[in-house]
Amino acid sequence: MVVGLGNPILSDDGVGLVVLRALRDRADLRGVTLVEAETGGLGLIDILSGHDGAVLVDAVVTGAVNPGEILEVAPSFVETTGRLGTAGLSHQVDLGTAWELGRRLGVPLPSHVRILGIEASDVKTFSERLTPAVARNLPAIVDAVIRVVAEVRARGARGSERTA
Amino acid sequence: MKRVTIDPITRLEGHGRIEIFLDDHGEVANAYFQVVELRGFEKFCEGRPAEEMPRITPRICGVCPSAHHIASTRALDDLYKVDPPPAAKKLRELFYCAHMIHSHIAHFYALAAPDFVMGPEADPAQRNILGVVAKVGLEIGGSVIRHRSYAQKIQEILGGRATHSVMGLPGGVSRRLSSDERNQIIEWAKSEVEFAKFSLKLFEDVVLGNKAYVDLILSDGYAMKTHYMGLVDEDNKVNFYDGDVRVVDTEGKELCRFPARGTAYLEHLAEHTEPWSYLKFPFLKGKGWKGFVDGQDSGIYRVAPLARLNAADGMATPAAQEAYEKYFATLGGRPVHATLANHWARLVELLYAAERLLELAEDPDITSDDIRVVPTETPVEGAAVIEAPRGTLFHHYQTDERGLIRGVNLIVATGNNHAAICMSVKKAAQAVIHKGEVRPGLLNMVEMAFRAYDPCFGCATHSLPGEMPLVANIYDHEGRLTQTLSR
Repeated sequence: MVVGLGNPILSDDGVGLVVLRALRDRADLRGVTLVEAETGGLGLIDILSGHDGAVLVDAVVTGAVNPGEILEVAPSFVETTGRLGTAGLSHQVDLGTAWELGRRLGVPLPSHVRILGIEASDVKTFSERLTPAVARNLPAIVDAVIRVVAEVRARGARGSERTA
Repeated sequence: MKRVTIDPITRLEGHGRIEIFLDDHGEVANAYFQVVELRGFEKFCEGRPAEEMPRITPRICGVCPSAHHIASTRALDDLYKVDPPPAAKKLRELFYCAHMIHSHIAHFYALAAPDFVMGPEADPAQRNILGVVAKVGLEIGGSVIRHRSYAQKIQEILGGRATHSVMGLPGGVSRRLSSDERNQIIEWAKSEVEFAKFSLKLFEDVVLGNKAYVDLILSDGYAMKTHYMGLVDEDNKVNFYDGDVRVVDTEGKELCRFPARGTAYLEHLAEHTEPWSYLKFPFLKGKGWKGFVDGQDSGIYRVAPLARLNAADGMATPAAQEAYEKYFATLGGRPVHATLANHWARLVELLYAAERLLELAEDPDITSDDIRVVPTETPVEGAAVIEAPRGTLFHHYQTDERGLIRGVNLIVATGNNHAAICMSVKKAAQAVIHKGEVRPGLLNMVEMAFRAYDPCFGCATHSLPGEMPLVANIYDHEGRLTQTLSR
């Protein structure tokens, strides 16, 4: 499955949702579940539950690269327990903690997860449009997501061969 | 594609920031709590059809979308001068009870419980919901997740979507409830009532059973004598959806009240600004702004569970009423000024929300087809107040004669509490930081003061959902930054 995350009315914050919509037109993704998720934490665990492989696409603000560039977030992040679970202000449990909680409680979580972050330029202005730098890179972002989906599917297929 | 490992990852660059200024003896001279602001919300709304507001405002913040949805829908009732049929009001309230349950469960188990189950100064790696589940057991952990999920499913059935509902229309709701759905909700609601009772029992065992925690809750560093605001029904019982906004003073006597529908709030509230904060500080007009001070003469009031219980004479459901009585008997009578008592009050409300959910689900009206009055009046201005999980929420719109938005004013729960949160942070900092010693465990005890409010600066500043990292900057008496603690 592919999950696009974000807020649709906060400029580049919604890039994950825009990417997801672009994926809906792609014939090569037939059979892949596509979900637009304006949520995080435990809500995301509900979405991922029961799927074998997942690609998450979300906006990030790192300052390390140019807006519109794609970063792959190390999967070790989601296996890190507790490290991000203590931010005192949030009402959402972060993904790492939610993941670990789901795992301990026996939620069937995907065996392969890849997380793609799209560097955002503006996530503080209310707007339904992406900033030009991010919008320009959209075709390249979509291609990259499709490549990663293919890799996840290939790993999933190998996984089922092994278990078969 | 570049591969970069980001650790920890945060979707947002905005940090909540505590600034603590020490005097030349290393004692706390002052402390501020600051948040970042997003831009252009009013402009974004201008020119849009007012009936889009119940779908736009929930996206300001990922934390309590359903509260904005319902507040906005009720403001539209006022804008279009319509009174929804009884079944529509009940369906909205049923949906809203489910939202309250969902939010209160998440706050208690994920954010409040770690401080008490693991201890205020426990290792942050353990002081989270994983630590709590490890300690109380997987079975209880599963029950927490299950009951949160029932509440979410009820919102999905009625709201049409899991998080950003589309049920609210001026004059009613978009969809009726089938009898199969109602039967399912009754079953879940019964389970929620038992779970709420269990949660109160857990609080009693873990928190009230530990003298050190009771002392901490009742200590001066976590107390503040303010006025309290909350929505009440005609019997002065707590209500989340409708009724009158009631404000009581530091002694629990009624100071003022006004209807939850309409613009009467403007006669009672004003907003103070400070150069160091984007977020304004609402205060009671009748008292005036006297600065960041508590007491009977101050205009500062509080909202959220502690305030709601203080502002009401009781709870409208039997088991919650019992819990309400026990709460005040244990804490020395109404009003309770102990900020950390918010956690207990939140669980009393959880029980009320669950009992009310069951009542509404069993109501014969609830499956009625009569769910909408179509508006015919020309809109001009409308406003409404509801109780969001974290406190009183005001939505106020002005439109042209076509119903296109010309002005928007929102006073959100955490905005109401803003002054009190700033003061609580300072007071807690003064209580725990001495001789310049600032370590993470102490910082957590400062954080506990504002965590009790369940603050959400998401919609307060129109900020982002999700993780909100906190930075604490410590300055010496000459204003030099001496230490930064972040998480």
